[in-house]
Amino acid sequence: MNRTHSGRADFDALIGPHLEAAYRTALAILGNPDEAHDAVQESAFKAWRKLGQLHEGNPARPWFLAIVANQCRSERRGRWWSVIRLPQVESSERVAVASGDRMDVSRALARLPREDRLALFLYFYLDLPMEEVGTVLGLSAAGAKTRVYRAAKKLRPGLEMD
Amino acid sequence: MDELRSEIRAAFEKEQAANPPSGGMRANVVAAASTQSLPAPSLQWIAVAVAALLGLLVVAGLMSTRLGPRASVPGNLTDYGPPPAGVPLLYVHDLNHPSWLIGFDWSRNPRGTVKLRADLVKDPSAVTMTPDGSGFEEGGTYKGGTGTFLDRLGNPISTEAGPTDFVGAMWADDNQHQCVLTLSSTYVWRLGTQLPGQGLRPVAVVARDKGIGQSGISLAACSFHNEVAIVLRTTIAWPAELWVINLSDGTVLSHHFYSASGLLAMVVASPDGVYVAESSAKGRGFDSSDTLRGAASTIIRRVSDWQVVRSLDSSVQVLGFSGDGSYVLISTPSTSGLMQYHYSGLDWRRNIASWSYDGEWTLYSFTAQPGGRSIAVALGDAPIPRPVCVTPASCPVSHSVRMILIGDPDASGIGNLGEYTPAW
Repeated sequence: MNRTHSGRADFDALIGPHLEAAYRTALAILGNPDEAHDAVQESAFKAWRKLGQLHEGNPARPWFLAIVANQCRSERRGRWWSVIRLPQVESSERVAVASGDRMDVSRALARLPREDRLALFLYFYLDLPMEEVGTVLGLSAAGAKTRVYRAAKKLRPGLEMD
Repeated sequence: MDELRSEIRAAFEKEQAANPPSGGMRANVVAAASTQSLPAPSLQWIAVAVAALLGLLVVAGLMSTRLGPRASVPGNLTDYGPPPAGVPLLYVHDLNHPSWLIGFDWSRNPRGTVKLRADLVKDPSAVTMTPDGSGFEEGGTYKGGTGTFLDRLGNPISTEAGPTDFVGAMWADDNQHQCVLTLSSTYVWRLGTQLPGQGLRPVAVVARDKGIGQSGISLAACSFHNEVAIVLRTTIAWPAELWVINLSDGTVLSHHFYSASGLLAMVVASPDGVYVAESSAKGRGFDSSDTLRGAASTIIRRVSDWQVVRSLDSSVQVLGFSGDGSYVLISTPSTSGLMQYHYSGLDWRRNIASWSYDGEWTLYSFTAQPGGRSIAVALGDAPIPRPVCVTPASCPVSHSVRMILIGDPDASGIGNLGEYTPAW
């Protein structure tokens, strides 16, 4: 692909349809819309520079989402190095998570390790097939299935997966 | 499974609905990315190769300068030699050799190794340092205690027997004296001061209680520079009363009571006793009483006139002050999830956090650079108490330190010292 106007159109055709999923993935990981937008933009820069690594015939979506996930991971790692101005911190809404014998799913999701949470997000929310979940997480399809299953089981002990 | 899928999808949908992608994102992102020029691949490889070569040269150079003075020691231990006198050091236990303490300066450079002698120190893991690392104590805490005192090189200092009714102590800001609290059999709380190796000097009677009750008194500050101690009564779990006492003549300079309608989670003081921080109970956990009756704000007061000099959100918990009082270590709710923790070093006068940590490790302990602005923070696994235990001693917690961070405002950041057990 050359980097001319037609190059931009090709890039748009390749990446554009997946930008919303990319933003939603970034938001799920980072929890902040501004940071999510920044992460998507930075991922797009990287995707543009790495276009040569996307082999013909390979799907662009999992490739790009993997770049986004990696960008978000490095954002999180880098956070505590930065100089920040404290915003007015909102009152914490901390309430008990247990409700009867079932834990509220939203709160249980918040308690999951980040990679487990991401696996559930990709599979259940974005409806990605296991192969693509695996690509984003850096796992095989079987590894991704195990990750999703274990994460789901943390939400619902005793769950049997199809 | 379908039910769970629906619930998970609904939970994520709720989370996502509040922050939809901005309009025009696609056009903006694609346009911005595709206007970037591409570096020539061949030059990239050359640059990488040159960088790698330079890196090797730097490492080799560093190794050549560091290998020389090292003593020969067993295993992979490094002996940094006797610690220098007059340099404030931060000591950590060497994980591979518990009887060795490694002293780092506040720029994170290893400056000395103290080797505790097995015939003199019974439990090396119980050895803690004085605030500036100019001495140690076995069986106390870095804030003080009644243990055995050791000098800068780890040799015991002959010490008079401590008071039998000792309940707590804190090292003073001169790094030499301690403020000591005692409780008599007739429930009289007394404040005294002590130098290691010398007897207790009585200062004042703090309070006369009718019985043990559900309250206790502890030290929040001990300043020999300002000749003042700040003493705090905690009733059940909430700060209830505070005294400011002159260390020279025992005069109670001021005495304050905290209201039950504006509950506090904790009160901490700057080492010089000039400021106190009162953290609202609203920011503490799930206790409905705390949440409902917590103080409206977390505040910092100037002790001399009891004026509020900074008001913070009630979710902010002030855990301690820097050595010079200009920064506070705060805990705030993490936006990343319930099992995530957020700690910052806040310049409270300007309301600017110069460094912060957001991650999965929780606070283990912290200490402040004597007279300085840096704060060392030990972070590790969340403590998991055993479900059944009879006495505190039988309730060990699963708790290991994963990193020691030094928040240094002057360096505009934070540095990781490594995975050690702190001696503070």
